[in-house]
Amino acid sequence: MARTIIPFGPQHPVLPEPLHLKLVLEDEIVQEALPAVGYVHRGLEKLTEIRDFNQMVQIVERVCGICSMIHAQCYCQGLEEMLGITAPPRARYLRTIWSELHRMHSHLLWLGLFADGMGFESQFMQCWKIRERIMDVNEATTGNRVIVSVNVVGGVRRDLNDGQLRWIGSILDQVEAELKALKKPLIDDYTVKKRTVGKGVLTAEQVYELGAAGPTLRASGVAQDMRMTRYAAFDELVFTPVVETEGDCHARLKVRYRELLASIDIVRAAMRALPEGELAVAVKDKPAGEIVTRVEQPRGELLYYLKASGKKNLDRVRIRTPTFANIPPLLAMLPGVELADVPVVVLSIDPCISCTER
Amino acid sequence: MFFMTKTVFSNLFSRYATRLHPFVVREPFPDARGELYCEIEKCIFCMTCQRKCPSQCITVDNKAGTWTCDPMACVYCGVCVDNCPVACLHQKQTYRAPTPERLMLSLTGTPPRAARLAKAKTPEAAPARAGEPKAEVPPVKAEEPKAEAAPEKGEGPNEEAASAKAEEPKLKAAPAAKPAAKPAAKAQAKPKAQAASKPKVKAKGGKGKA
Repeated sequence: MARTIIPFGPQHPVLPEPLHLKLVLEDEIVQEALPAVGYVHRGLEKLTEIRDFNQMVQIVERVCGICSMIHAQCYCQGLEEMLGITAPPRARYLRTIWSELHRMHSHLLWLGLFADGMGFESQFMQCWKIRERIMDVNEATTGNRVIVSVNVVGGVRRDLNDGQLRWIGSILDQVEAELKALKKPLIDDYTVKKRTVGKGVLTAEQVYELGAAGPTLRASGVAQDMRMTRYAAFDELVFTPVVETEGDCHARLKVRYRELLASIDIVRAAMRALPEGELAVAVKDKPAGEIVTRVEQPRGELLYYLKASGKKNLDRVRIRTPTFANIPPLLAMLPGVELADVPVVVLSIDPCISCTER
Repeated sequence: MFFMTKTVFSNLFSRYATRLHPFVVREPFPDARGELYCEIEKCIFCMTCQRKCPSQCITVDNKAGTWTCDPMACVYCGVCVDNCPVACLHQKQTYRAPTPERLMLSLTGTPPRAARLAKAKTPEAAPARAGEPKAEVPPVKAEEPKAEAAPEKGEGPNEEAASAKAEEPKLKAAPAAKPAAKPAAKAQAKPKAQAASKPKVKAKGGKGKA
């Protein structure tokens, strides 16, 4: 059969976000995938011209609805370094706790969507049921479910008291038990393996050359995680990146599943070691200079470039999100894949398009 | 999908994971950030909230003494609440109910400058500002502004008049506000503020419709 071009997205039943790919097919096999980025561009970086650097904290949070806390953390971390101040230890630990809770709810959301992409709807409901517990923790401790708004330049705005810490601990125990029960029907299941094993394989050399980030990178056997750069409280907590070696969709599923369990351990360790002290330091100066700062988002490495010249508005905020880095590896995965497997392969990089297009 | 069967059956025979929402509503978390409201009688019209708001949903006019918030632009971040110097801004624990029309939350109070000017205008108030016979003057003052404010029906009366105004709707709205009050920690502080702000908003909405 002759070559056919099929548009995949921006509106597609399997996609949580408007990714747009043009698939060049020969019979049912994908020969080439051409991306079109920019469908939900909002120009958030440009807003730095009319909003001051404190107001930008709330704006960068809205870059991504799933990992809002981590965006704000990265931005605040960068500005603190530029201003020459350090967030108090308690603030750094609290940031770690909330960012790991965000990673957990993001991964649970993805596990559900991935199961839904394979047509495994009861698993989708199951994952989102577990996720709801973490959303409740977010709402009870920060005030909002998704856009938590706890970061300020210099520290955090909210505190956790002993009662809340105990409550979070009990919720984590519950979540851990439910997650462990999820392993058999999700990871070891025959049908799930049939849909994921050997699909969209990338070797360690390929992912490294294509500049992949996050679980996509670690599923191919490259142990690279921005938490190894020891930001926030990771300089004092024990952290080892989760790595799988197969490089296919099933490996990416396993990495995210194991990261969930690892995040529970990190939150527990951070709660145990939570130091006493104040929550934020006062910011007196205006920022000046330029800086690059990186943190680990649920989807991979998040990079902020900030430039300022001593005014209340920053000169430039450049955000490079992990999905943007994961698009070239996705395009390398797709050729040779059957059309029916495209949703699974596309979802396996956990695309966050509103992050990518800002 | 054999392994899932066990989970499916346990879900089938356990209670619902979800609530029948409009009929069963979860008690809001005590620290939840919900709808913004302002105790206008405490407000000093310093415009800090307007400057700090990242979505610029608050407009303060310190001459006319109006505090306006576009609830549909508010992002519930609570930055204004944290930065308010007199702590007159608060957030309810619940979000704002959806409405088919765009209602602006507009409150009118007395800016301190206008209050000072009004005091300076009235001849009796002048010695009071100078300072000595404070104990004797207030009863006279309290009577006067009422007489002034009634025929004018305008803005910018004395502080006493404003507080008198604020007290009236408080008494009227008290029974209406009672069922809304929840058995939370804030229950004591909340109904007062609601009572003070509610009747004014309603009056505004009524005007718009007419």
